[in-house]
Amino acid sequence: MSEILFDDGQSIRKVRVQRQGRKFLVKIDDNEEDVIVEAQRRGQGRLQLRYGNSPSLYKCVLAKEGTDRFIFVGGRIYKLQKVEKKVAIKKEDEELIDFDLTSPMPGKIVKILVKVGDEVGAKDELLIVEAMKMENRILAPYAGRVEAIHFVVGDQVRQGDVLLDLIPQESSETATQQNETSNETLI
Amino acid sequence: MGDKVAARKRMIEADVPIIPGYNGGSQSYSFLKKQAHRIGFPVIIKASGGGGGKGMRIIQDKKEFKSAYEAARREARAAFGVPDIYIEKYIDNPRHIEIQILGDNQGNVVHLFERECSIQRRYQKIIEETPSPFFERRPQLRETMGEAAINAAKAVGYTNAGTVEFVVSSDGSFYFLEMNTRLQVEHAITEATTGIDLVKWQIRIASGQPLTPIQDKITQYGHALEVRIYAEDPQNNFLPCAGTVLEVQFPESPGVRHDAGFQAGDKISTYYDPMLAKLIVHSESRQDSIRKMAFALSNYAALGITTNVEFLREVLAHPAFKRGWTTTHFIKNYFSNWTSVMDKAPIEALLAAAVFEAMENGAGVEMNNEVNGYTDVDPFSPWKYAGKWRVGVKRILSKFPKS
Repeated sequence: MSEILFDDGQSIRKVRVQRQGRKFLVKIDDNEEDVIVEAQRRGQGRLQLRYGNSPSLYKCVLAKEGTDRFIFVGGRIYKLQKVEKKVAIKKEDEELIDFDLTSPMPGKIVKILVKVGDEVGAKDELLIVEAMKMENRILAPYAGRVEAIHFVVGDQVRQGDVLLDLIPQESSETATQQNETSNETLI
Repeated sequence: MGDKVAARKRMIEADVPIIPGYNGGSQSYSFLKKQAHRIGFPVIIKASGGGGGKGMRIIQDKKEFKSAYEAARREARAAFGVPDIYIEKYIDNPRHIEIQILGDNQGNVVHLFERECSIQRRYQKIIEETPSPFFERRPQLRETMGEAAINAAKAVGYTNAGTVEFVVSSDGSFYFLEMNTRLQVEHAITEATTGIDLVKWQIRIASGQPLTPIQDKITQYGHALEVRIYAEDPQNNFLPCAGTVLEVQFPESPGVRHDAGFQAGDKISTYYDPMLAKLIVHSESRQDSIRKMAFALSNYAALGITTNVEFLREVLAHPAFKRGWTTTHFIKNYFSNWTSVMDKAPIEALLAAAVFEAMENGAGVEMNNEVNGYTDVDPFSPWKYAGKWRVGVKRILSKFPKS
């Protein structure tokens, strides 16, 4: 019996799978009962399954990339992340705070509307990145104070580049400390 | 006809209605601002050099004029090499309705009816259909606009396939927008309903052959609908999304055309237009087309990248879309803060992931490489609950009332 942990974006789901002849016995989370699954591979990334007493035949398309698992079933794509046990436990006490704003796409900075030290409100326009010949406004995701701007007008930026640091208003004292550490990890 | 300012002048001469505006060519800030006051707010600024929504800005009031003027010129320069812009009256609740035309070297011009392309985001079309639901109670308007499109094409001695774009106000008045001197993305819905192969006619016209379809013989059958599949995030202002397509599922059924430019394994970059594919359906009625498209989209997946498929499904399911209340403000009015309802993964998804994992690990995996017949991934298909119903059995069919 092998145990697998999947993060479905809301919680960690624990799954145990056991093969029994042509069938699979699957235990989800800490349920008492095993679910009996009849499954067949139907070519690359394709799986057909029935489970329990459900009359439906589920045709699924699956793919994986690193720890990400994509499952297309019933007209929707679900994304699960396969997680290691240690990480799963750690994640529950850890609170991640993101202080940086990154470029959503490769492009060029055409306008910067704020300067270091400015107080901005949530949804205020911070700067404009031009990409694919369209101007994209980068808005403040929360109210705060501009701590640093990493580019000047005319600079080319890559997707994921940190454009500026914005310290949230409420927690600016504790934030300053944490921001220093978060910058270190970024370098 | 590629230059919008020049095109407007020709249309005025040919009595094709145009929107009040300034198209004189002056680019002076203070002069254009005065023109905006003369036309009356709201006004819209557009790039002279091209389309695609680039360099376009709506200005609701005079305070916004300066920043919009600057941004539009920057975008126009970046997209088309020249910063030139023009300005016109902005129409509330407009529909985008365009007429497909064909013109040959002998001076014959015919139209192949309209396409309504009002469902847009970032001023770019995502859903197109023909016939337009707006013409359902206005057959006369369809004829008038068809004639106007022919006049527009004749005014410039146009040859080739082309499209005359109009903006139509809710009272039925229509204005010339621009002429697209090419085959458009959405041409397939016209081909589906008229049965006329536009690409074939482009080649015939180019080789000097005269048009044989005459206007009275060109008819439409049923209704066709197109959606554009984009690698973009509808939850984040429709920003293009890069990534690698890991696996695909495409719908296949009668009356469904899938023009795709990608397959599993492809890398989608943000350096090009993020359109992945177009999906076109043809049915007897608008209602049937919407149903057929909804089913096709429920069998459509590109795993590993973000696409607008789920968003398109919800647009098609919206009561306002079903009623044909399609204006260019549709997305803004009904879907401005749309978010994907990402429920907890259902049990079948978890089971599939778990079994897949166990199979990948190899313990006695039986491989069945049969891929054929894999076009339906819908566990809720009514055929699965058809019971004693059988196709083609007289006893059951005879229960239908005779019409």
